[in-house]
Amino acid sequence: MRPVVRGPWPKDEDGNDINYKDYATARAELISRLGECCSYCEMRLNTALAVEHVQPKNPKGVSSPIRERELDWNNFLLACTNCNSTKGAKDVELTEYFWPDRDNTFRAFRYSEGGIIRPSESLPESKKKMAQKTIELTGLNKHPSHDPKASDRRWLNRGETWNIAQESKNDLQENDTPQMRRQIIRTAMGQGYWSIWMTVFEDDPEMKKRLIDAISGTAKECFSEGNYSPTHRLGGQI
Amino acid sequence: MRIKRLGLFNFRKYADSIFQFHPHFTVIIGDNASGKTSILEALSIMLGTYHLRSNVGSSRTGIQKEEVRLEIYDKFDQVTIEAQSPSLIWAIGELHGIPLTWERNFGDRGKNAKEIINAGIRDIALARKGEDVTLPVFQYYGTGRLWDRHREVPIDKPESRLAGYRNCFDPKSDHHLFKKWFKQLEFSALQKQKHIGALEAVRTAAMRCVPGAKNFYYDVSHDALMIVLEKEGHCLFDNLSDGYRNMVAMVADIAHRAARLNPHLEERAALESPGVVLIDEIDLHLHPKWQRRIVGDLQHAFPEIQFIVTTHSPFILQSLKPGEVIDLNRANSADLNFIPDEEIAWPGPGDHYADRSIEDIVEEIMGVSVPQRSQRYTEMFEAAQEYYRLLESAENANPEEKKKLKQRLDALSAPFSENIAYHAFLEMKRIAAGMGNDDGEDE
Repeated sequence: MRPVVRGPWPKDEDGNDINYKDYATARAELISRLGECCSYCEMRLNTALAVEHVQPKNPKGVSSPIRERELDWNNFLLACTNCNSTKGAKDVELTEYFWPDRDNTFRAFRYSEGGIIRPSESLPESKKKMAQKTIELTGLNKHPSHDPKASDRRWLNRGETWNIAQESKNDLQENDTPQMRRQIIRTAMGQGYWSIWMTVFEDDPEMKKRLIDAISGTAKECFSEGNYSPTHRLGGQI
Repeated sequence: MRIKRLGLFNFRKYADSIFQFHPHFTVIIGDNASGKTSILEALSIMLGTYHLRSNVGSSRTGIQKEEVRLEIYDKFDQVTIEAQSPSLIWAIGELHGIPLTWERNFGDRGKNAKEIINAGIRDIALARKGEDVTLPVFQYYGTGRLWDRHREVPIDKPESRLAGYRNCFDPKSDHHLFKKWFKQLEFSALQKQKHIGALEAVRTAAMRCVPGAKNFYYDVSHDALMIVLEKEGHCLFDNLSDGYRNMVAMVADIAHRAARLNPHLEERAALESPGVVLIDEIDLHLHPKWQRRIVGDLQHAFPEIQFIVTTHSPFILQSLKPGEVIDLNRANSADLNFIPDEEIAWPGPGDHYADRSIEDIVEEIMGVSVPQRSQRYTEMFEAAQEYYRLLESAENANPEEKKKLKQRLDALSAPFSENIAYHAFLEMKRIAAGMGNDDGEDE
């Protein structure tokens, strides 16, 4: 999961914080700040992209929307239909999960062949549990071995992306030119699933730098200078 | 005029459900007896409330006795049937740009719908005084529209604007009634040698829905409605095929009602009249080629009208944009928390179907299995399960086995992937490796 920076509350022409009357109007600004992809599964999105409320605006048991959550810029992310509907109206305790806008979520998970997402091996037990809870919150662990649903195709897309990234890595080994590198970045941006590309190219700091720079909103402070390895995020839980 | 949400409580088969509609076009799908028509009936009751105190002959009052939900109990060896109470419908919508909420209860006379009733009284009184008030078009086409026709009403004297509402909520209303009106206006235009805006509104709307149509007019010498097509030339309207003729007639009927209700809009009546039109089984008798077009054509001809329709046709679904479908096979809930605030239909898939195949739509959305495809899909799924089980059990599993399973999955998932270019590339590699065969039988 790519760590992101949402940035300060957008201003209107007079320099005042925009007073959102309808949260859907924040969508364009979120896309320009965070890139056109789901904040959780990193699928590239086009039309079915929704403004996601980290803390649900209508948690279960509440009869009308909680306005301060509904229209709070700092509560917004972007989500695809699958992540959004899996996460649903479940009320969340922020400290029990990792969040892409607060933590270095790239450190929390391990991506591997088939596009499988697991808690990172190096984490202490308590953090592993948090990572697992985060995976389950948006259903990033759904794939055919235990969830035979046709409508959720994230696993198929992640698996394919893993394979494409591997092919790209082989191509780069055979023909390591700046042009090839640029072309791979373009493929990665079109394909989505940034974390998979970061994982496949983890031994290539130059490619990692390109990936970090290629999409807006990546939290650059989450990666070390020179090596671009993930580091602790200031103010985050990881 | 728009309806945004509709709540049904003890109405027909619904105990407690909420639906949300797209502002322009909502298509309701669901198995037979899943309650599609009940939603249209409830909508017509809510819309008919606008006419409740004005005698316009729109023929819909309130919830009927037989529409109250019944609960059947089987206790102590006795089966009893109990009518459930309260039986009510509520709606949230907008009229003349002003938000409205109203409710109808079984047996009421509109006590919880004062705002919309008063708006109706005011608008209709203004219309009767000859003021240029814009009236919303309401129309309900039931499945009986094709065979259960009303007797034609003679039109031999100038009529009230409000004739545009005649029988509008009767699902059996005959959409060929516009013909007489059209003929009369054509004569009138000829006699006075004048351009009549209302007539042009209907002519244009009808022609917009027929590709290559060059004219649509009443031919005096043949005493018949005539359509002129680019290829076929002059055709008698009544000689067109059933499906085609009915589609054109429906469009002309909506346009003629818009033109009658809003004479001050003249030739812009179809384009500018607001309203809500309900159509049960919009695909009725239509060739798939026309099914693909009709949603776009109706929106194009009547941009201010909200359409709420039902269908069983995958071709209609394929022509939709995201957020235009209500799927009654999905779990509904009366819990407002689950209803999206975006202006999209709900409960529905929210996806778009434009790039999905008819097989995908039939199988995944309408829930009908396509045998050839199902078999492939099952195979793909089994291959995926094997592969993912292996990957999950150990990251460094036997590389040979992993490779074999991966190749099998790659081959089988090709028809289900969105990434056509990638699968073309894989297929090319399989051919290069001497195992090209897209059925995955590479042993």
